Amino acid sequence: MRFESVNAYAFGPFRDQTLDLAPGMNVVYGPNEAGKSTWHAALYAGLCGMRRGRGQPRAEDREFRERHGPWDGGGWEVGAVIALADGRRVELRHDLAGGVDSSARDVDIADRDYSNEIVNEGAPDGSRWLGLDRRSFLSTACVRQAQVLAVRDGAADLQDELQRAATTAGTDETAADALRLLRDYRAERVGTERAPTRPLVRSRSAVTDAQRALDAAQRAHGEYLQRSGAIDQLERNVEAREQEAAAVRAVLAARVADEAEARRDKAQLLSARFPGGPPARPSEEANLTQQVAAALTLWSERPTPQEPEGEPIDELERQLAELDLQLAVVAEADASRAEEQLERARDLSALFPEGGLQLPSEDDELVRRVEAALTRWNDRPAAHDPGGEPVWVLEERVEKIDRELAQAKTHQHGTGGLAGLLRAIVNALARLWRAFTGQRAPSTALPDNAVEALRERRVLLRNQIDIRTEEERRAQNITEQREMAAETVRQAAVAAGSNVTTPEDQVRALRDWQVNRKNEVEEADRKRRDWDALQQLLGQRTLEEVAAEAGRMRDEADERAGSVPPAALAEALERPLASEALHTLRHRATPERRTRIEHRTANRKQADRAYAEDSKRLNEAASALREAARATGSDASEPDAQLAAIGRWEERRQEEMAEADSQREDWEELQRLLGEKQLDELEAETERLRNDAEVRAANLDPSALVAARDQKPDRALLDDLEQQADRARAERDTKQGELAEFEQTLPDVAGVEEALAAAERERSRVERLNQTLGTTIEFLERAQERVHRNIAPVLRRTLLEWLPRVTGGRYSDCQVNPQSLAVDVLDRDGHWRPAGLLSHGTTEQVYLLLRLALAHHLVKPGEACPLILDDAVAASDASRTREVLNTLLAISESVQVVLFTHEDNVREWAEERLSGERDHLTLLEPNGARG
Amino acid sequence: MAIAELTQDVGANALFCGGDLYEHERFTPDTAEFVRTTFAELDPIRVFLAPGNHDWFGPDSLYALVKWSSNVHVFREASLQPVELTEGLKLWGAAHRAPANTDGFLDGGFRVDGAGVHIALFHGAERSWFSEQGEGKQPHAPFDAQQIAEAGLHHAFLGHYHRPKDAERHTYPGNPDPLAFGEDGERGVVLATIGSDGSVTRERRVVASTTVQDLDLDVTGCTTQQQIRDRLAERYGGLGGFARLTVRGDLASGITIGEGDLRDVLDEFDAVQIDFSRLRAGYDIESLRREQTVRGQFVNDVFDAGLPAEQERRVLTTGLRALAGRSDLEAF
Repeated sequence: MRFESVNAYAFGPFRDQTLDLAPGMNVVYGPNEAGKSTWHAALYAGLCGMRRGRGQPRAEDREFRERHGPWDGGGWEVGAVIALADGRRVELRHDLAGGVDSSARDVDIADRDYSNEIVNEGAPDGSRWLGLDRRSFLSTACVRQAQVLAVRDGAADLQDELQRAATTAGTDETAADALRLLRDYRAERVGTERAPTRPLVRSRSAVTDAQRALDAAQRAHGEYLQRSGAIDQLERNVEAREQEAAAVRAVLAARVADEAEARRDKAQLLSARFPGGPPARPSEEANLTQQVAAALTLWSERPTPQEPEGEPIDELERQLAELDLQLAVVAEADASRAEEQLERARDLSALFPEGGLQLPSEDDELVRRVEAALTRWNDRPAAHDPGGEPVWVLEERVEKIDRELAQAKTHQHGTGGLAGLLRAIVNALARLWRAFTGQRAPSTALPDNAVEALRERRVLLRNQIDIRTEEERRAQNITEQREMAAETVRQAAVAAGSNVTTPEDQVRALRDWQVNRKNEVEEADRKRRDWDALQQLLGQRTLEEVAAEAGRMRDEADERAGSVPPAALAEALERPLASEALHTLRHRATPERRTRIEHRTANRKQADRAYAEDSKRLNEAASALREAARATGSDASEPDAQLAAIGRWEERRQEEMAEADSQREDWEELQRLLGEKQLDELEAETERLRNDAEVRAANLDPSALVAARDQKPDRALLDDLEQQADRARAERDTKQGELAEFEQTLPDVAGVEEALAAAERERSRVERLNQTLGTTIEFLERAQERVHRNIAPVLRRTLLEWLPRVTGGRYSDCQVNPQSLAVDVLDRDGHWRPAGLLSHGTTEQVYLLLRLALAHHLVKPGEACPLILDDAVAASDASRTREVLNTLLAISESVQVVLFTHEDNVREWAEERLSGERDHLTLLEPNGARG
Repeated sequence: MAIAELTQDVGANALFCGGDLYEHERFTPDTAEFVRTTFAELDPIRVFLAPGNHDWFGPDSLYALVKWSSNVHVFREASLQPVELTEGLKLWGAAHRAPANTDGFLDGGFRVDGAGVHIALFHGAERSWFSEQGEGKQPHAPFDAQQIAEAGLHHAFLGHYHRPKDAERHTYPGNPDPLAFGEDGERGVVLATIGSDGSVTRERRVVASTTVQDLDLDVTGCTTQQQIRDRLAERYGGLGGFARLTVRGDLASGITIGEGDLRDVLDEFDAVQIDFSRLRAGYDIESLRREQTVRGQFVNDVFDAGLPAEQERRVLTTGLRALAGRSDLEAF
């Protein structure tokens, strides 16, 4: 596609003006306010028109209208003549104001309108022949100065621009931006499974919580139903108990009504008997009745006097006096004897001031010891002297002889046998010598005979020694016996309290001790006899007790004496009374006997009094009976006749009283029946009770009434049933109260279900959004990858075709990253350089080439999209401007290029370079006119 | 309340309820008190209640728990039981005693006894009408229409189906108050006059206190959100009740619209349910598909993926909005 002309029929300041364009490079030059922007807009609007729809226009449409609407009002119309690749030439005419009179007519073929082919949003859109629309044409075909300036700043901007074009033909975001937007949106509005604060997890938790709440609500509702059912059972129980009680109450009420009717009937009957009021009382004969009753009582209770039998009272009193005298005599005798014994006891007691018998110690051991000691002393052997020489002397003599013999033996051995014999003799002599002299024989050598003598002497000495030894032993034995006797005496003396030292003194002391001891024993025997006498007098009593006993006996005797005539007692006491007689008297005159006589006396007196009393009462009863009979009109004299008369009178009287009592009882019965009421009131009350009973019965199930009657109920049963009903009501009320309290917390199941439904809807919405976003991201990523992969070769191919030429061979190759659309170029040194990091001029060249490539790629195959540049080379130095213009010129060989500029160097370049028919320089005047 | 008032206003002899008076799993003490007092106030007009599958009779059911006034009779047996309404007119009623698996009351050779007119009241599903009820209905206590006559009944007054039906020998009054959108038929109370020969004349009275409306809004051609709101207000402003709004047509690509944007226009309604599923994104899809861009590729890929229509629409809308740099990425 290329523009042949643009027609501003009524557009901005222009009216019916045309801008012709060459098929190749077009430079439209004009200073500020020359209308470049208007022609630029007219070029766009002449091809694409404006969307047309109902309602308010969009903001960008309103802005476009404000900027480019006709200055002089009226219609707003613009058009363009374009040539398509298929050879058609179409004149587009757009009624921008009404949107109705728009057309796309074939220039060469009359009446052919292609509007329907290119209608877009209600109006013809020539960019549709390029496969674009109004927005994408603007971003694909139109190159603004700002875009060119931006790519100078770095590779990122160039890359972004490429991505944007690849994604939406430059109209909107890049795919990366869109994906970022989607991911951010998903993170915020959905979240992940592990993000508890994000909607996805929150909505699921809300569903779980709501489900739990529903479960709880349903459980609570189930419990509510259960409790309600239980209360219903309790209610039925209450009704049953109340029904039972009501039935019993009705039965009892009927019974009360029956009783009331009976009372009423009886009251009516009784009332009829007393039409005049209370009955009259019988005649007053109370005194006579009393008299009769008293007389009969006396008569019936009259005694039968019994005359006493046995000893008369005088005899008994005589016996009693005689016995008292005897008792006094005995008591006096006993008292006197006791006093004598007391005196004797006191005497004996005086012998024992210490209060008891003090006997010498009965140390029989000491007595025996003393006697034994004295016996031993007396029986001790007489002293014995052994006589002669003591043994030791004799032993020395023998030793001397032995030495002499030993010496003699020594000599014998030195001189032969004879010598020895001599020595033996010597020795024997020596021994004899020593035996007789007690002296040692001279230590000289002895002759044998001397030895023999010594030997004999020695034998003799030995015999003497034996004898002397025996004598000494005997003497020693005697000595020991005597010493033992002396020791025995000494020890006995010490034991007997003697301190003398010699045995003889001790013997004497012991003998004295024995004498004293004997005297003491005799004295003790005497005291013991006195003591025994005293003890016999006392018995087990103390002296004080004996005295007290004697005193008591004296008091008794005095008392006895006081109860008898003193003279008689004195006379009796003057007569001596032998002990035998006293003993006999004591046996006869005993208190027991007196008690018995007293008892008989008392009995006799009582019998005498009873007899007198009974006789008196009998007389009184007879008198009363007689008087009573006389009062009843009888003059009978005999009690039986009097009793018969009284009996007849009583029968008459009882008949009269019975009749009176009967009337009185009836009257009282009537009064009891009426109570405080009158008869008519009682009748009304009875009727009310009957009605009440009937009402109670009428409200009951007949079977319940029958059952109640069968129980033969009473008040206790009713009380029991009412208590059961009370308990049942109390239980029901308690449960009802609990249920009412429970109802306060009873959740609204429907409300909770709605909450669950809302939570589930929210969860579904979030999960649906999650699915939608996920699917969208997946599709978009896939589309991005595929498009980038497709477009990358297109870009590279275009760059390879143009880059060496427009850069004078400085860059010979390029590559485009299919993922990011990053562009690298190869310099002469074989280094790959990012296109965005080249010089500004080269970058701009690369950018324009890429735009060319993108335009080529984005439009429908076979078509070529013009490039329209609005001051795209402004702010560039001269050399860079020329490089860019040269590039555009080169590009214009394949696509139409329209460059609007106010730069003089651009105009100069155009005047210099644009000379052929394919290119054209248009000069605009400041007033908008074309030059 | 409206039914009770109508019953009194017309001087009816009795009020029949064929079940589903309440929902067993949801009734509250207020529910019990409401029905009790409402029916008690009808005294001496007799009220006959035949429990259904939602309000089945049991020891803890509202029917068993409420102390009904003497004018109320609750059928408690699982088989039809007679009650004499007047001399020569006998009403047979039965109760569902479980929420499911209740056999047909007319099965097993049931037949009324005695002379006179016999009518029935129960909650059951007439088989031939079942297919007309749509989803969610189960055939509780099913029966065939001819079973009514075979049982010797002159007429049966029934509960269960929400759609009303006046058949020759049976009547479904339908739900008196709307329960869902899209309900058709004249629903409400049936004033029935029973002749001495068993014939029944019926008159329907609408007693619904709730209005349910289906609203439709085509946004095609609207270029701004305000235009859509104005169009909605112009068509449905001033209405009330419960509404289901279906938004359809082509939504211009630059417009963002959500439920909140429309609800405040319909604030006089008690509740509004909004359905955007019929809304199409206002893109020139064919043009986009020709683009040699990522966007064009994306659109083509989405269409070629064979996604479900709803998902395809959402993915397409979301992707194109993202590519346009918009923040309203959630497509309803």
